[in-house]
Amino acid sequence: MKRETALLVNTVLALALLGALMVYSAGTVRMYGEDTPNGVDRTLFLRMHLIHVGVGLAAMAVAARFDYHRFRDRWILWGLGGACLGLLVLVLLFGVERKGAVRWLQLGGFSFQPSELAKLALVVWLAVKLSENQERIKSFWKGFVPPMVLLGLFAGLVLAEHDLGTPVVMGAVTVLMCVMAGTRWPHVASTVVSGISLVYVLCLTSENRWIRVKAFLDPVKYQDSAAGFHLVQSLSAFGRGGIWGKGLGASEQKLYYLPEAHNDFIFAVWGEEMGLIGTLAVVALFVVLLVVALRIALCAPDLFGSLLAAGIASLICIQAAFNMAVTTGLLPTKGLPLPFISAGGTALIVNLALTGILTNIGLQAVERERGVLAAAAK
Amino acid sequence: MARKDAFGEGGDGGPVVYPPTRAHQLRMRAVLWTVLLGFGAIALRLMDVQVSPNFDLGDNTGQRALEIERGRIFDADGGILARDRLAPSLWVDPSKVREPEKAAKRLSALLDLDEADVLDKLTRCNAAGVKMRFVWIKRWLSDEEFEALGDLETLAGPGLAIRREYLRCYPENRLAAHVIGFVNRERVGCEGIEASFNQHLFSIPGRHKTRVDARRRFLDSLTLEYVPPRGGEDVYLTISKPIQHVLERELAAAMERCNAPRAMGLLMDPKTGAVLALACLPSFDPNDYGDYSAEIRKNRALLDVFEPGSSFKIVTASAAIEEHLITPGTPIFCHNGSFNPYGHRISDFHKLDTVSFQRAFLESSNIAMVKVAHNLGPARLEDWIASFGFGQPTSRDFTLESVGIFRPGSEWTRYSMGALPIGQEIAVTMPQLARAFSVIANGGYLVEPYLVERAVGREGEITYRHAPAAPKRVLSASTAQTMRDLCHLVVAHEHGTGVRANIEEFRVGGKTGTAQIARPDGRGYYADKYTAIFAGFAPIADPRICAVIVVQEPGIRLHYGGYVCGPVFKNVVREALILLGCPEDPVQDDGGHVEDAGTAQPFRLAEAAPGEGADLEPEPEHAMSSTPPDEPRARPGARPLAVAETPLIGAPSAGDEVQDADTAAVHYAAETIHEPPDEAVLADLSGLELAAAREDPTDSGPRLPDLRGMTKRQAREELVLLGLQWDARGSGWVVSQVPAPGTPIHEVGLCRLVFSNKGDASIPPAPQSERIGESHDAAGRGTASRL
Repeated sequence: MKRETALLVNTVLALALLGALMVYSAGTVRMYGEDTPNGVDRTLFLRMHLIHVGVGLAAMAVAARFDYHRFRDRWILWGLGGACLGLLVLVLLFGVERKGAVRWLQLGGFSFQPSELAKLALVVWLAVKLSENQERIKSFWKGFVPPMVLLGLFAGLVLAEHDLGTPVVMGAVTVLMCVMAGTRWPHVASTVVSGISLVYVLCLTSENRWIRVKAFLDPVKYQDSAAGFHLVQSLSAFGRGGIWGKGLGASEQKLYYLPEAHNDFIFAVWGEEMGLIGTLAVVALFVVLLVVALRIALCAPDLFGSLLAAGIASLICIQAAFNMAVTTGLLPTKGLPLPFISAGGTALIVNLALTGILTNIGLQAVERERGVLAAAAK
Repeated sequence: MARKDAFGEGGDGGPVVYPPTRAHQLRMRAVLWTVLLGFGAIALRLMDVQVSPNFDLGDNTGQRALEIERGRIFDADGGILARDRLAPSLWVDPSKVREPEKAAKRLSALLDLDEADVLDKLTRCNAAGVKMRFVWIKRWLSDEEFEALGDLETLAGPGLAIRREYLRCYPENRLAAHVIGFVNRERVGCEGIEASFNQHLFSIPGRHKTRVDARRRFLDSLTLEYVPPRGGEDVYLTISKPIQHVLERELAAAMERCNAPRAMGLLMDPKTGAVLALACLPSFDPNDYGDYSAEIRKNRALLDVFEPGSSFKIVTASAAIEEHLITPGTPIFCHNGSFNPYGHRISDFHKLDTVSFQRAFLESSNIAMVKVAHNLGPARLEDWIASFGFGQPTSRDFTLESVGIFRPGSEWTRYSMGALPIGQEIAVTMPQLARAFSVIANGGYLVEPYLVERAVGREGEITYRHAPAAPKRVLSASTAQTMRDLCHLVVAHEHGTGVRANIEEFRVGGKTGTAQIARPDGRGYYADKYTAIFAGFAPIADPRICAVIVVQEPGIRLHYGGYVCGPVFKNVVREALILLGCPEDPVQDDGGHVEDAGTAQPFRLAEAAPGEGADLEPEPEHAMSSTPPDEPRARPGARPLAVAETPLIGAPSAGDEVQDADTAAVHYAAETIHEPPDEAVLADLSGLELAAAREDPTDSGPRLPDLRGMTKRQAREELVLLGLQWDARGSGWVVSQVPAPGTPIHEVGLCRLVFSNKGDASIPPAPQSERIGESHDAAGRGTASRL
């Protein structure tokens, strides 16, 4: 287990390093021609990002030493959940709108995205509830409804921020955790079907979302719309990168052709600069992360740790998969960052904190392994 | 399983802890594989997208045209005559216009445009019915219009924008407009230097091709192609702004004074051919060239042809002197003003009897000139006219230039020898006439007038420099000197036709001309339309300026060249010489001038009260005015009449008499004649009596005394007593005198004296005095007795 934990940490650090590189490459361009009080500040995005990485690594270190069992403590659990819900409500009341969604709370010079924290809280809550309710997990009311209520609470509030991506990720993680916790398949199936229908209805009712869907289906035809244009530019970036890429820093698509080149579409910049080799390497890193995290989950000391580890792994990897799928045109565009790589501050810190929790579970599994080995030796 | 066993006991009293069962593990693996499947799908998709791209949007490149200014045009002193400036132009993106009607109303009111027209532009679609993205509304707004527009968005909604474009502007407005020309809306030069040096002035925009970002901003660090702009060379003219200004001002004044519709003038450096000023009025403002007709815009100074009239007599005179047929002193019988050698009457304004050639020249006798030309013969007259450059283009700098009308000898009629020597039956341009006078002024060379000194590229490199053609000698230096003296007499002598052109500070030479304007149908002349001409140069000692002034169709009774153009020449050349810093060269600098003695009263009076009666009419020319106006000038197909067959009026005279007349005149031109005229020339002379035998001027009348050895004061007193004008050079005692001693006084117009202190006054030019002594005892005796 020790090897898996070390691999996990190293994988995440590799992804973060890669992210810093890409944020510098794409963010430098973002500053081109921008009027800042000190002229062109080419490293502004990099510096911001490195601060976030630093805070995130600190959070990761703290979380790695924080016994994950204490998340079951009622005070911490309710405190975390209550704080998240409160912040989400605050966002609805005082949030700052960016890119059509109200996701940010502005606190002095820093902005904060409570929906990212909500993902963490949801996973923790689900792990607690699902592991506690193991005996009644097959029942509809006792086993199935509570996680759905949790999902409804968090996802509903986030959805109210005009953010569809995060609720979809939350729903997917919830479904996966339910599956792993032993929820009956019909319940799972009905959840998936109703979730997809709901998303479909939501897309139909919003002109903006419907255009994104149409642009996803035929990007060339809807090039005039932002979504279609972005998708075409993103695919073009991957195409220009080819197999070997154009070299670090050589992306042209980041010259404002890609929206959020340092953030949501950073993977396309990576693809253009490093080619297929680079993109497959990133996919491989996430696969390594997933496999290692699942091995930690399988070796966790208890079901709570197991579910928590698997939930965290699913959360990170589903976000990564969604982001990559969006940039490569496999899914309609939504505003989702690529974990550890994109320049979103809150998401980066939360993801590193989640890695810390995973590390803690892994370390406890190491402890337990040692105990088992010691017992066997006796 | 081990894990199950190890954690079977659960937690330590807390909530029940369930270990992950095998079912959980199975489900977890299922989830793992599901997500891995997702990553697999992404990996496959990446291979698809990156190995065989579906999208190639082409290069994100943008190209900028690097516009530069069209080259500037400078005058000789570096003053700007034409340059580019940036002016705002209004354009519209019709696809963005929301309220075209409102916008059209406002814009048309502010910009003085047709509302329907503006509305059409605001809503213009391409052939496919899609709104256009770029339509000019009004280019090159004036500053007032630009101010009035204010904020375009608030004025007429979105879609309007300003683009700054280069606009040609001519800061001097009308000054030298015909020389400069103008630039049309496509920025191509039309007319003038703008047209003829368009390939130097024209700027070819460069290209700068770079990557662009999605906001269409050019990324200079990602430059793909850079082609620097070319052309735009500055052109430096020979024109001098102040002289041009003086010329245009005086021409305008003359048009006003003489009620003339058109006038033109040309000033050039006779030695180099550099044109200092070239103007034709009425003029136009090249800034608003559209307001003027093409007729006004064309450079008539190079295109209009006119008969040179008497001003052309310099050609005949130069030729005859160069060929030693005559000297200024040669006596010529002028038939008292009416002569009919070729079947039509030639008349003189001033009826002269037998006078010296120089007197006939300064009074512009047509008869004398026709007789001289007859001695020359048609073939050589034709050669001489051609060698003075008539009938040929004058300059490579004048792309549009008339060559005039000069018929080859084979097309001459029997009237031609009575017309061409006095400047009829030939049409010339102003540059041609100026060039012909420059031959005399510069000592005998045919020069090429030119306007452009050099063109300078944007890096300061000289891309064009005027290359003077090898000078072509037309006249010997001495003939040119003689002609300059003759021309000076035209201006300075009391009977000269050009007295109004005389300048006090500088000695001037020139010749007047008045010509009737030929009917365009070739059937003779208009009875009342004239071209008044004055051509001349100054200062005669070393001419710096050769000028031609032409006033067309003066609407006053005194329509003569001397009267109409003389004052223009005087004022313009005087100011030009002062502007050029030319040292003063007055007629007399030590008080010895005849004017001061009161003998030049007639032309002083004439100048003081011009145009006060017929008796002051100074112009004895326009012989053809008494010819029937509808006299056929040239009949194509008419059989040329050989001059040899022409019956000449007047009894043939004996050869020896002619010899006498010729030798009598040798006195003056002694220095020009190095060897006696050859036999052929003399044989030709036998057919013509220049002077009637009965008039032997050598036998009677006072003669010029020998002034050699006298002091300046003594010489002056002597000449004042005789009523002669003189021209003194140097100081001390007289060492040489022209005309030679013994020349009849009535043949002497101007007495040139050279003074020296060297004490070599006693050495006369020996061969000349020998010949004088041998051939003219009377003259010799006269001289001796005086001494």
